Amino acid sequence: MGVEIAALMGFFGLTSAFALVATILAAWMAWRIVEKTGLPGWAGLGAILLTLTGVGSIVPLVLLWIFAFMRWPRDDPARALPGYGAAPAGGPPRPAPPRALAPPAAALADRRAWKLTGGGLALIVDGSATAYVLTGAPAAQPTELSVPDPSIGRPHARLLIAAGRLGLEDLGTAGGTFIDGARLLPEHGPRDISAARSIRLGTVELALSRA
Amino acid sequence: MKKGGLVRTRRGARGLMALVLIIPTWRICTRAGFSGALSLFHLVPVIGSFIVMALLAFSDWPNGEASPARR
Repeated sequence: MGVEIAALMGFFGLTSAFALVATILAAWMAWRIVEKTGLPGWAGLGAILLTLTGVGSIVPLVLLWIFAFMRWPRDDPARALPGYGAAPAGGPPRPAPPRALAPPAAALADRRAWKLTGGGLALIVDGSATAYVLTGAPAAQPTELSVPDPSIGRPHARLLIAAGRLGLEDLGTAGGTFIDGARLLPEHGPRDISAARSIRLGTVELALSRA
Repeated sequence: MKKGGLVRTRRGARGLMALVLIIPTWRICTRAGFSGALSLFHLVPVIGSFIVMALLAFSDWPNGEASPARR
């Protein structure tokens, strides 16, 4: 009898240990997932730990639904910079003809070329054209800038130049476009990146400077 | 309740539970840039949910992630 009780206790101990490890693992993964959306990681951790309390699994389930359908900070517009036109009403995709950058509020006196460096590349945007297309394909025209990487769309984004300022417009590819870490979506239209330090196309980080 | 009826009820409850998990997970996966079908891992007993969570937690999201500055 004593042996049976000991075996039973051992079994329950093992089950509890597995449950504990599973809960810790789930909490850690929930933290990471929630963080990727721009929300605080502790919210995911808290949702998992709630299952340990008396509220059972209903509240975490409700939180899962809220999380799935709520607005994620990741999808917030990139920081708006003054001077460039409002986002167009139409949604993606519309990569067709290069659009001119709307006149900025103030022109920049510095007319040196722009330089994008990173990922073993150095792209020069000298202002000889008003629009350049960033693409993952080999450049077929002088106004195309090739960034050969699988995460880059064909085309991926458009650089626009007006009055010494540089603008960037996302063309709606899956890899995404980021300005100093903030997501740029096609519906945001062209954004002024003259004061930005870096842009990210897919997984390629490019530092922005003057040539 | 007869044994067969009990089994059917349990299966139905399990299916409903999986559906309640699959719908939001499908949405999360598609927003992250993955196929929504990944959420069907919830149908795998015990470890299914962990597989989906691990995929979302430890892989790069094709649709982009919030920058560290925003976290």
